[in-house]
Amino acid sequence: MLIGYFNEMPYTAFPVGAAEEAYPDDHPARKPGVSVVLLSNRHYNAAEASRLYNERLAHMVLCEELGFDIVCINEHHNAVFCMSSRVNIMSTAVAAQTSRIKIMQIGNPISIWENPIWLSEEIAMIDLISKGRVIAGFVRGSGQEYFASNSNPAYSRARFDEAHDLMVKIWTTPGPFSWDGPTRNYRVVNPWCLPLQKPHPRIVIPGHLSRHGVTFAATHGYPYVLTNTAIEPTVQVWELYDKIAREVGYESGPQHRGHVLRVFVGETDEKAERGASEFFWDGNPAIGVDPIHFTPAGYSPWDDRKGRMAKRGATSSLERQVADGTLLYGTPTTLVKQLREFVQQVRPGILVLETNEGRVSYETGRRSLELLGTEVLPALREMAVEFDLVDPYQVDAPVSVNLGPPRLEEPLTENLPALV
Amino acid sequence: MSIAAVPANRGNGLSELTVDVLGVEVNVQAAGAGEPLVVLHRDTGRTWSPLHDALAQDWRVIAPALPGFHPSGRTEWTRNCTELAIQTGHVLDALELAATPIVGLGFGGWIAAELAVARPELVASLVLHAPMGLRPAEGHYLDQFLIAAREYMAFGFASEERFQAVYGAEQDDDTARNWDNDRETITRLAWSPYLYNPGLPHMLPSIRVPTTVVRSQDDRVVPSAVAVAYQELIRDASLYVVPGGHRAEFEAAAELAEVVSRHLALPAGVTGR
Repeated sequence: MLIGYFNEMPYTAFPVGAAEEAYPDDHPARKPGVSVVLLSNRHYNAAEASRLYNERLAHMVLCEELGFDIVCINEHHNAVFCMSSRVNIMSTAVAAQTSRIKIMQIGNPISIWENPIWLSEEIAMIDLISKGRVIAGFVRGSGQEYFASNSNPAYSRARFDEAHDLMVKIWTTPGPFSWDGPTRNYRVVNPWCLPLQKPHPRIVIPGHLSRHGVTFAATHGYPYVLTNTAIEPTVQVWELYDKIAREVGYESGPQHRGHVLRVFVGETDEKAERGASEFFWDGNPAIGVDPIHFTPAGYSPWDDRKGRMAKRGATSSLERQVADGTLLYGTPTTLVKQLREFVQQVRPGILVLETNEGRVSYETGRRSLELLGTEVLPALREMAVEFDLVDPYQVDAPVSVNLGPPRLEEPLTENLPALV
Repeated sequence: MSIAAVPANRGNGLSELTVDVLGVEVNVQAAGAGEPLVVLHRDTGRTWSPLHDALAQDWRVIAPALPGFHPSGRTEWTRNCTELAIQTGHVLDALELAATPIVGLGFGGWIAAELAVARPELVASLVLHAPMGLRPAEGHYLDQFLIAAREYMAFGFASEERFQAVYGAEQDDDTARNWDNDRETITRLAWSPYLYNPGLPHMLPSIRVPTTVVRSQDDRVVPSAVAVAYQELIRDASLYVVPGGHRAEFEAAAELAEVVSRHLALPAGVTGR
């Protein structure tokens, strides 16, 4: 099992409940509680942001020392709840300060970024600088990213598919070649920047109950990484994944299953509860997105989206997330018990522990990670053996149904000019 | 098939038919007798209105649901409003219409203007009510994508009472689905630049047919500067103001029908031609 760490990196230098207030400079369409897309960035303090970036980076580096296998990095825009505005930049910062931990991107919004060629170069650079440690997650980006970037949501799926196909071709076919597709056109594709891992870095598809995402992942044999998803729909996703895998002609298993799970561990029950409550630090729907922006017309079929429209104004809570299995917390002993139940039901080969959210301080977060590293990770590793929860590396899984497992390219031994 | 040949098949005299337009099914509603008059609908979809009924007193009113709008089919190749206008020309070809007066409402006004540029032989004259399609020199189009579909509908009315009378206290699932379908089409065609074609100011001077531009006094969707710009750019165009909000077909149907009638040089209330 790959055990990972994830933090949303919220901009917590923001008064709790302030998103409920109305401000004179508000956009007329901003509703109370909305803190994504339309909340003015006049509330952003760069000095506080700088501090927060560096504290979160220090936590990620600590994870390597503590024995985590992967650190996860995501990307959101115009959002109080997430300061990681560019996954490739955070990935590079981690790559430069670590030497062993894998960097799993959850992920690059490849529908939105205009140029898959340059995107392939960025991912390759991270892979080269990190000496082969990147896991390239590809996403479409949540609806609100389309408002932040003005990319057209109606063409999101077509743009995703084409960007993926072009990047895989770049990584597996020598250039120069030209490309004329339904959403992109390039007269010369020939980047002199290719990843160290051959045929290419592992690709994973992070998502949350997206039919397009699950189908895409299973059709290609990529792990699908579920985020913040309750047990029952999780089991349904894996049933669908397994069914598609059988139709494609391969046997799926834990190595195809990723799960980002919210946890908090504390020395005492009280400390654990206080830390877990911070997932709801802004007092509101955990991410403050107006459902109208989260699911714009054209992004996906109406039947897949109408339920979320109806949930406008709904909030989540600690109690609710504990009840549906999307948040586990407690002392190390308690958390290990809860995790044991969880992994038996869900059977992930990639388990990412999302923690230290909200206003959890640098010191408290550090202590929590130490507890995870010393008292929870060893237990998880035993469970992985007991329940045979293998990850893609343990079984040397191919990067996709069409290709083999990843290997690092070897240095040249011949035909090099002599060193002076 | 000729639209004039289709008999009335509904109690209120409203005909409905589906035509195949180069592979896409297009729904057309029609009423009235006499010379044909095409009405092109708003971004909020094709909705029969008191304006259509008033015009049907004197004309054979033809109201297609443009490709992409409920209940017509959608084509993947149409990526902008110039292409939709050309596709609208295909619709009129399929209905065997020659030069016909066109009334364009809002978004439909934009399509009518682009149609007049691309297919001048199909357009006898133009009435453009609160047309979209030009970048406003002042103000902004109301951004429908930042608000819920029902909210955007409501902004089209100056009177909340009239809005409720047309759309009820809440919409059922089928209506919500159809609104979303039409919203997706606007996303596909006009997400960015939002509701305008940067090249259109340079194309409008080629329009040679009699044109009347109308704006609504209390329009919260389209800035008044846009109608003013249309009038300035189209040769010999007139500009009128009617009361009420953007949805003049409901809020000022009699006034707008009179503007159309005057434009077409036919006194209101006279039937047939």
